[in-house]
Amino acid sequence: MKALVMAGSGLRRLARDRLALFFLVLLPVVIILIVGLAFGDAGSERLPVGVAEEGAGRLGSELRAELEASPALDARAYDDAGALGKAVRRGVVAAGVVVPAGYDEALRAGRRADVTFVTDQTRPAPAPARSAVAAVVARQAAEVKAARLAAETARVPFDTALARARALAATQPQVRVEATTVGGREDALPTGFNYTAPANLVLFVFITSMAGAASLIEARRLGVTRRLLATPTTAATILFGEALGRFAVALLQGLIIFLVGWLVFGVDWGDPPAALLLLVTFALVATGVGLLLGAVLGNAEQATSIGPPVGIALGMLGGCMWPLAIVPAPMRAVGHLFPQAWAMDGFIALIARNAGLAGITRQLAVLAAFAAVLLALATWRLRKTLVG
Amino acid sequence: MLRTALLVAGKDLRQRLRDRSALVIAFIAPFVLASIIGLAFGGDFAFRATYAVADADRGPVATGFTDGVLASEGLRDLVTVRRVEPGEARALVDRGEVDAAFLLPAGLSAAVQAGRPATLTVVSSGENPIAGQVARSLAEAYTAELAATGLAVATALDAAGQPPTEAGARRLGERAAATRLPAQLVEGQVGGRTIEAANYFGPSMAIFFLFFTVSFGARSVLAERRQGTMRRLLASAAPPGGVLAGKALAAFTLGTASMLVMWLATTVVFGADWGDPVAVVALTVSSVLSAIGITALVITLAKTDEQAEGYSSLVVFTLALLGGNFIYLAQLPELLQRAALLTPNGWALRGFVDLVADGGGLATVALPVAVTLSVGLVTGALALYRARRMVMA
Repeated sequence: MKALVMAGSGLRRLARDRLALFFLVLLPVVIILIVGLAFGDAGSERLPVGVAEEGAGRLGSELRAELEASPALDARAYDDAGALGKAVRRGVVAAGVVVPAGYDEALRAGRRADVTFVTDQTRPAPAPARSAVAAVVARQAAEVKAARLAAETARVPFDTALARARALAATQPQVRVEATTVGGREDALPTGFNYTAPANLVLFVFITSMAGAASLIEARRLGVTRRLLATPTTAATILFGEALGRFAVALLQGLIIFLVGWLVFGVDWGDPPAALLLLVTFALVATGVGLLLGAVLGNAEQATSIGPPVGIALGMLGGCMWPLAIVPAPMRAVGHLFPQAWAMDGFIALIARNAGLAGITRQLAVLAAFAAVLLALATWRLRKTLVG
Repeated sequence: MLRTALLVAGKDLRQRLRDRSALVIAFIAPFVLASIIGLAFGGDFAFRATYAVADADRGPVATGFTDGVLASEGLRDLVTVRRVEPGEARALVDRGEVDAAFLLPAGLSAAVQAGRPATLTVVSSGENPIAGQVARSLAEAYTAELAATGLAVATALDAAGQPPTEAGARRLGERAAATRLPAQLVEGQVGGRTIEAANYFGPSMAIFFLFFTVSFGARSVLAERRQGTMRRLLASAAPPGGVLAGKALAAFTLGTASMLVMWLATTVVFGADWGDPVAVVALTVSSVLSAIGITALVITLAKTDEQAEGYSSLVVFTLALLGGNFIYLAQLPELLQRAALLTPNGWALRGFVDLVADGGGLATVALPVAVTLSVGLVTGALALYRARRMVMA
């Protein structure tokens, strides 16, 4: 009962702190919104792609026109490769297509002329953009190849043969490539808000808990906890109250992001009871970390200043900033040394693969182990600062 | 006044360096974060994938794909091929035993040779999207070659204008199949120079933490006022201008050191190349000044310590979010991309990235330097004006 009162007073103090509310609610939601927009559904709209075809001749201009006509692309012309490179780097377009100077000449003369697909390697272009561009390039190259063969074997002018090839291309049967993804749903890796909502939930619940250690340190420093001990309250009750308060904050923040994600951003959390259990387990892990920091750090300033960078670093390692599926295997292994990666694995399994509770038992077990060890360590250290 | 400034700056710096959290913010955290990003996206790891092939066709078209594409010289070392039964391919991908699977249907070769449509299926899983995309590109490139060969034969026959002999048609087909597509899509990078991930994220993380690093300068003005040490300082006939200059100097020194250490560390550890040193230093100095000016102005607008703390965190995070230090601006709606240019850190980042990608010297970063410098001078002057009144009050 006393523990509940302690936890409640902590929550009330928090509700009056407008800055804390900013970090607790507003910042995660804004980040989910912005990043979700950035990594939104690639299939839902035409992908912006820049095209530079300086001095590429007639076939080059035709290629640009074909790209502009592609239903999957929003092709925009650029004057030269330099300007296009800048636009790609700045994210104005998702990728660039550079048709080399002398493209027309080379192809007519029977030489090769490769088209460059310019991407920024630090943020790969969406796969559908590359596929769509490759298809357009391949279509034109096929026509050129056909025209060349016809021109050589039947001794007709190249342009006549090219016109014939184009007319015939429309009637040619196609060998289609059908891309399917295994798993319950179309995409096994969630996109847009379906990824950023769980990612920021994991990221911020952890950061808030780490930074929240400050109030614990402050209470210790001001002697609040010792004075409580002077009242007929046992150390165990005080510890339980502290833990309960931290846990309530972590859970509350997680729930807010969960609900905002669901109601505002339309995130489909998969099996809601399983997602909530995952959230509760992760909140326990975060509580353990917050308590442990509160026990070992010397001053409150350290907790507030170290919390965000360390939380961001662990978030990066654990797949909150980008999916771990795209990093090298050793980095993926390192990420799984921390609870974030396990929580993300769990959320991804629920959201993308519709795995039920049974599908995430391993992740839940690992997180529960994290929570148990951290909480035990924290209790032991805090008890020493209280009683010892 | 200079003596006062130097004394105050020295004292502030000593005080900051004794606090380990300042060291973490200024030097350790930006480097660690940039390293993680560098390791995650660094190009040092080679692409490798295991693909399952379920060949129900067993004809020349399927063999052309398995032997001519998957076992080709360029891919042989990167791709491991597992031949499987059509029924088990999906399950293997689902269990993660292979990264993707190709399903080559029965009658594929016959269909292609007879000019009938056919479908080749690529099964991938979200666990390994890159391997899945590569598999899809390989299949698409191969079917494009098939289509081109078919079209070439049809066009040549059509241009010849007379029905071919069987041998003639076969020779034509062989000749068409022997030549690759004359134009293909090849990968290229932005900018004239090779870009290492550390070149990008080094500056980005350094700028992100810069605002936290320098905000202590203005905060210490508030702290000294609250603790009463400011009044005692001024009672000792120290000129207020000197005290403030000292605080700004300390923030400037720590901020610049933080950026320069990041430059040095990424260069030594990751072999990063930030570009022309003179331009790097100019952009560093102007960025640090803008960070000091903005944090100082925000903090002097606050009435209490808590407000100062709150306002500065709010402004710093908002700027980082809009400026693209925290997340990448790629594919953001255009409005948000423009918003990055409302922030000095957005300009600073643009300058550093241009310098890495385009090379060149001061001229490359002239505009970013001018913008960040003006922001720094204007906000700094306003902050100084307010701070003097605060100190005097």
